[in-house]
This record gives sequence, C-alpha cells and structure tokens, in this order.
Amino acid sequence: MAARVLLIITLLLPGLTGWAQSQFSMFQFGSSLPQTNQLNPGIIPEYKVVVGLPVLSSTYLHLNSGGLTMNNAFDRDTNDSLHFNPAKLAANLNEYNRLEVNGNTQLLYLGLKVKKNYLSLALIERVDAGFIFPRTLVSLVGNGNGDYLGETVALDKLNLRAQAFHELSAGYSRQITDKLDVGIKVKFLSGVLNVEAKNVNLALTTTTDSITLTSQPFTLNSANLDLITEEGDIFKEATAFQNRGLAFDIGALYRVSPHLELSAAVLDLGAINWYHNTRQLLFPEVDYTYKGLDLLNLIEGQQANNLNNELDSLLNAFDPDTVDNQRYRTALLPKFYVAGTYRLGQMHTFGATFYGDVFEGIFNPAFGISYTLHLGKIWSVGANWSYRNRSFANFGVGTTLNLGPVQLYLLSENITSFITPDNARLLDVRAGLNLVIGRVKEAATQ
Amino acid sequence: MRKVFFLLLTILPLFLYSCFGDFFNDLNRMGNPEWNPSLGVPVANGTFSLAEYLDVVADSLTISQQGDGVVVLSYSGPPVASPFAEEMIAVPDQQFRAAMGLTNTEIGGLPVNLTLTKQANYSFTVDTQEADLLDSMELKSGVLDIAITGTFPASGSVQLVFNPITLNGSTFAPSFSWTYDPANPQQNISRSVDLAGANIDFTKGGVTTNSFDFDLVLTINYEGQPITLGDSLVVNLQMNNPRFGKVFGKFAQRNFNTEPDTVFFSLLDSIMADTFYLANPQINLTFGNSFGLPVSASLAGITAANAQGQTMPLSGTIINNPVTVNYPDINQVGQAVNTTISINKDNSNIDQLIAFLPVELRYQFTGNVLSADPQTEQFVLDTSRVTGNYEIVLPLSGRVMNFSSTQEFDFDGSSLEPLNETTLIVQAVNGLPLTVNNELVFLDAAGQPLDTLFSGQSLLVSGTLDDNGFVISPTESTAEVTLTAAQTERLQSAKKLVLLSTLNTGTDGSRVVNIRIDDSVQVSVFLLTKINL
Repeated sequence: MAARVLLIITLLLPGLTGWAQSQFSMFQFGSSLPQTNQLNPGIIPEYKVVVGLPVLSSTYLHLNSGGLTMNNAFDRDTNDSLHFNPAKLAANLNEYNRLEVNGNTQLLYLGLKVKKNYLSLALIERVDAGFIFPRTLVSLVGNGNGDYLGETVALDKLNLRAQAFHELSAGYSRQITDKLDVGIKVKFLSGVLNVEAKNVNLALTTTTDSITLTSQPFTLNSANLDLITEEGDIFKEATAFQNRGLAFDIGALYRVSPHLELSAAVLDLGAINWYHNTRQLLFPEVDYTYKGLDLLNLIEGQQANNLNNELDSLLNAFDPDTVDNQRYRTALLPKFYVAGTYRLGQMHTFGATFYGDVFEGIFNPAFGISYTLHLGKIWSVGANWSYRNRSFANFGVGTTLNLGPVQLYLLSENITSFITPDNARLLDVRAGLNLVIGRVKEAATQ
Repeated sequence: MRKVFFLLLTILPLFLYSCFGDFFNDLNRMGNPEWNPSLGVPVANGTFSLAEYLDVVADSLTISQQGDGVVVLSYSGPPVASPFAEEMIAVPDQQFRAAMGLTNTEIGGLPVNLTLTKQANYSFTVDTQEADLLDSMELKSGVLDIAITGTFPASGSVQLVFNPITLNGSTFAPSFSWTYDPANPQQNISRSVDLAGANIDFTKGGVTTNSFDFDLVLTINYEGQPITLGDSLVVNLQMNNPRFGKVFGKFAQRNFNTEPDTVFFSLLDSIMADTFYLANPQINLTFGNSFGLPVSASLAGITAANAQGQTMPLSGTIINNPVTVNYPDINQVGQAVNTTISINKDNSNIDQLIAFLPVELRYQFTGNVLSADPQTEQFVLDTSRVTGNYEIVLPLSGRVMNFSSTQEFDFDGSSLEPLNETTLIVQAVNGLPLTVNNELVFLDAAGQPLDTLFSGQSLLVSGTLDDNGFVISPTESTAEVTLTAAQTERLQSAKKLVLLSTLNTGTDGSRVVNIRIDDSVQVSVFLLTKINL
C-alpha cells in the first residue's frame, strides 16, 4: 500500500508544482487557431469573430516533473515487482530540479478583426506553482545522512511558489505592412492565493559526534493562505479582485516570403502586488548542532526530558517572526518564443520554435520542430519533437477540427507520457472549443 | 480523409488503453521499497569530571577537593548518640520528716500569755544516685507533698520556710492555720506543691552538698484546754518525681553505649578489583559533648563487610585507646563541645579495610561520663548527651588494577528491528588518569549472551601522566564496532543489556595516580546504521 502511494505521488508530483511551460504545438497551427494569439499577440487569428465559451474554449494543464519519473524512482525485480528506490531517483536527478504545474482556463474570450486590426478581450483563470530543489535533498532522504559522514550537504536554492490569479487581458494587434504584424496585450491581474519562499539555503553537516543544521535567513510570503489552511471563503476572495497587478505581452510576425513566417514574442512582463490578507514569516538564521543526549542525564534516566528539550530547541531555532499585512510583489515569469514556419503547398507546414525563461538564475531553454498536415480546410493534424527539461524524448501531437463555426482542438506537448507513463516527466494537454465566424483568408502562402 | 479520421479515432483509445493498462498493472505489483538510508545519529555526548559523574551515580556522597585539587569523596550519615543525661543521672524521690512539741515551761506559760510561738530548723541529707554530690538543681517538674498532723487542743498556725527552695523568684514558705474544734481537736493538713521551675540549693549556704533544710514556725493560741508534753505537730515532706532541667554538682562515673549503626558504600556495590589501594583513606570521628563534665569515648568496633559477605575488623591503636572528649565549661551551659579524632593508616588498618572494597561499615561507640573533678564545677542538663559523627574520607590518590563493575539494564531488542548493518563509534578525549574498557553484553530472555560488543577495546585511554601521577595532557581515542545485518537481527531478541566495565589507573593499574577535581573526559557516542524502510 505504501509503495502504491509512493508511486502515485511520484506520478502526481509534476502536477503539484511549476511556473513556466513551453507550448510548441499551438505554433504549428498558426493563425488558424485563435489561442495562438495567447502566445504571440502579433499572430492575428484568421477569423472576423472569435467567441470563447466559458471553460469550453480553452483549458490547459501542464505538469512537469523534471527528472521525477516512475522508472527513475522504482526498480523492477525479476518477478516484475516494483520497488521504490529513492537512491536511484536521486541519481537520476539534475543538480537542481524544477517541479511545475500550470493550468489555466478561459472564462471569456472575444476577438474581433476589423480590417487590419484585431481586438481581443479575455478573462483567464491561471494557476502556477513550482518548486525548485537540489538533487541533494532527494539524495539525503534516499541515502540518509550517514552517507555524508564528515561532509556538508548543501540543501540550497530551494524555491517555492504557488499562486492563483485572474488575468483580464485586452489585446490589440495590427497588420502594419503586408509582411509585418505586431500586437500587444495588456493584462490586468488580480491575485487570489500566493505562497512564496525564495532562496532557502539549508546545510546539514554530519560528523561522528554531531549533526549541524544551518539555515540562512529567508522569508516566506503568503496571501490568502487561509483558503487552504482554514475555512477561508474562497468565493469571496476570488471575487474581491484584490492584490492587483499588471503585465504585458508583445509580439510580432514577419512574413519573409509567401512560404516562410518568422515570429517572436515576449510574454508575462509584469507582476502582482500582494497586499490583502498577507502574512510574512521571517525565518532567522539558524545554526543548530545536536550532539546527542546528555550522557550524564542519560545515566540519570532523564533521556525523555533531554529529547523533548532538544526538539524544543530545534523548533525554537526556526521559530519565525510573523508580520501580517505586509505588502510584497511577485513577478510573473517572463518568457519568450521565437518561431518560424515554412508552408509547403496546401498540405504541409514545417516549423521550428525556440523558447526560454529564467527563474531565480536558472535558465530553462526548450526548442522544437514540428510538422503539420492540413487535410482540407476542416482538419489539421500535427506532430512535433522537442527538447525540454533536459530531455529529447518529447513528442507532441495536435489537431484542429473546424466544423462550420465550431472549432475543436486538442494539443499535447508530450504524447510519450501517455504511451509510456512509466517514463512520464511531462504531461501537457490543451483542449477547447471556439466559435469562429468569418474566416478572413486562406494562409498567406496561398 | 474521413476514413483516416475514424480509423485514428478508433485506434487511439485502444492504444492508450494498452499503455495505461500496463501502468495500472504495475500498480498491483508494488513491492516493499528498496529504501535503506544510512542514518548517522549522535546518541550521546558529554564532558564531565569524575566528580560530576559520581554526583550522578552515587548517593550519600560528598565531593570536595584537597589543596592540590585531588578529589575527596566523603561519606557521612546521621550521628549516633549516647542516652540523654536525664536517662543516665537522676535525683531520686526524697522524704523528710520533722516533729515539734512543747516543753513544760512553754505549756505552763500558755494560760497566762494565751499564745505561744516556737521556731526550729530541720536539716536533712538528700538521697542521690551513684554517690553524686549535688550543689543545686533547677527542676522542670516535680511535686512536693506536705502533710501536717498535730494533737494540740488549741487553735494555731504553722509556717514552713524552705530556704533552699526558690519558687517563682521567692523563698518557698507556705503557711497553714487551724481553729480548735472540740469535736475534732486534732490537726490534719495536707498540700501538694508543683515544683516546676523551682531552684533547690543543696549547699546550705555554700558550705556543703546534698543538704536540705527548712524552718518550722509554730504558733499556738490557748483555748482553755489542757496541753500536755505528749501533744506535738508532725510535718512530713515527700518530693516526688523530681526531674531536673539543670543540675550542678559533682557526679559519679556512668557508662554508656550507642546503638550499633551501619554506613553503606553504594559506590562500591558490585565492584571487584585485583588491586584497590587508596593512599590516604581516613575516618574522622567527631564527638559532641554537652555534658558539663569530661567524657571518655572509644570505638566499640568497626567491621567492614564486602559484597561477598566477608568481614574485616578495623584494628589498631585507635581501637584500644579511648579518647577523652572535651566538655563545655560553666559559661557554655547548653552548648556542645566537639572533639575530633582521625582514624588513618598510622593508627589503624584502614587502608586494608578500604582495599577490602567494603559495601558497608558497622560500628558502635562506647563511653564513660568521667568521675567528678573536685576542682571544677560541673553541670548536667537534662538534654546533655554525647554524639558521635563519622565521616569516611577517601582522597582519590591511589592505584587500582582491574577494578571491575557490572551493571544490568532492561533492554528491548525489538527496538532494533528497523536497523540493518550498524556501527557504533565511541570517541573520547580523556583527561582522567584512568583507562576504561567496557563490554556490552546482550542477553536473551533466558539470560544467555547473544553478542558482546567492544570486547578488547579501550573506550577511555588514560591521559598522559607526570612523575607524580597527575594528568598533564588528555588522550584521544576512538573505539568502533560494526554489527552485521545478521548480528543486528539476532540482537532483536535481547531482553537485557549488561555493561561490564574494567578500570585501571594509568594504562594497566601499575601506577599510583591522582584524580583532580578539574580532570574531565569528553565522550561522544555515534550510531551509523542502515534502516529498513
């Protein structure tokens, strides 16, 4: 039973955390899929009117476990039984690792194309969470501190952020020339929930006569945490539109030739100011050494008191100061896309996309290539291969189906997670239904 | 295209089902985790001197130091005591009798003068015990019964003037009178007087001892009835249960014994040694005397018993030579004066007695309250007594070879169940002049040994010694033992843990060493183990 729980946790861990996600599949479908405008406001949908129905129009889920996979965490014996092996898991991790979860759903979308202009209004609910941890954390749990006798294990650069917020965006795009489209999106943000701790640096030193735990001072910020821990009124907080922020997306598309398009975008340039129902925990510097029970007290039979005192000392050492209603700011994670597509005839599109973000000094790059098959005006299917999370084993697929004014789409950045769940480290799905009216033109390549 | 679409629509769910089918099958094949982390835990740590250690493990032990810093262990206990003085010295009940009659001249003058007063003094010797010579006495209780009988056919009165007795600050002089009654012409008078707080002087003005007297003053009022030579007045005095608070005088010799007592050496319980030699052990006996006269006290005997039930008596001149105990002078009434004697290896075999590793010492005192010194005024209070306090003093200078002890503890071996291969590391920085070997023996429920750890290893190695046996620098040592997984599993059935300790001064017990109060040892115990999760 315990092993099963461990397995499920291993598989779900990616779903518990994350900030950034590279989405390559949407670029394959370009302006035929209105949601591409979310990744680059310079890409103008090819419909006069786009209406997104609440929830139905776009729901996105992205889980990234980094190196945490079932095969990395479990051993299979000769009887085909699986055994959780944290030491093996530690050996398969990077020096620093990111666990991510991103999700969003469109509650409202309206897009209007007026001549060379495209106006959009969207309300999106976003959830981003992530945890950055060093390999030593898992290694310490998996191998135990005894493997580090005489050494100091640095549990550094621990970062945690989880936030949920509303994003109300207004976009404006314009075809500047026959070759160049540009767009900008202004996003009004309203935070609902946030937990954030940056650069938590711990170190554990084990010698043959002591264990020393040190911690540099760090701050844990939170807002509306009682929504999780207590009986906070989630509806009230979600509709209060407190904790406001602002962000921008800008993008451009350049038609090099009738067949070749290049695009670039920078997204999420902005931040949320958290000021409502906030709490700041200021953890002090800790230098705590445990040398075992006092020998004389042990001889006297007072080990219980001794243990309790030690536990109290340790807890007291980490006892934080609490500051309520302290204002703080969390930046969105800026990211950029550079993409290019080449359309070969009516049926084939080839593409390449480069993505990057930097969080707390860790650059997270990704790039991918894609192929899309257009089967008439109704159905398009595509596949892509990408490198991300230090893995080349990412094969994505996507499809759009236009049934009159109804457009269905289903995209995934990594179909291999469904094929070999034992090796899944990335689960990514976007699906939705758009009402699209008035297809303006065929692709420029026609 | 339509065919392709529907073909994919059919194949995709089947494909995904087959993939996730294997995955969910895996869920049913979960075995125990292969998780055996290596856990390193400091178990215990301490820096302490021998004095601090003994303070924890030994009861009834006082720890101090000599001028050179050497640790001194002292045992003491409640004092033993002689009986109180009032149980040894008592003033017995006293009886005095006086009779007064009239002469012919006095009888013949009565019808003329109508009244007659006659006075006489009566003197007695008081009874004492053991030929004590009493000067004076302050009574805390006692009763004087006065009985007066007479045959005078007349009215009259009588006064008894007790010049030796002072009661309530005045000379005690009670008066009695009567009126002639033809129907009952005789006198019959009695009275009891509480003497608590009374002072009685037995010196008759400072010239003698054991003397008591009083004046009788008789007044007769003639009533017309004939008085004869046979008429008289008789005074009977009975002093009952006189108990003194203080008594002065010169007292005869009396003997006393204390109750036998025992002092226990918990420190030496369950100890054995090939050699155990302390350089200067001693027993200090302190006698406290609140008798106002000299006392001779001596040890009736000290007998040591070791853990094996063998006994050894203390011998030497100290046993044979009584000690004259000092006493308070007249200006120190109510105080006790101490006299201390030391039993050491010069006047006894105490070094052999201690080397015998006694777990208890049985002892008793005897004594004499000495006979009176005619030149000195002496006194005794009712609470006067002789007390004897002992203090066994053991300076930790000596030589010990294979000083071994055994301690047994309950141990639940099942607590080792999560442990796999396990290593115990004991590190020490020893500033004591002692080398200690320990063995941990695990016993099963039947008392059979399952395993022994640290066999042949020294957990503490003596600090470096100078020529005088003092530590000049500590010695570091590390003892390590590794239990295989099989050994650890075997110990899970352990129910008892026996700690065998063997101690030598220096490295092998051949050196005489000195343990100073500041000599200390730092010990850390570390556990490194693989855990089964």
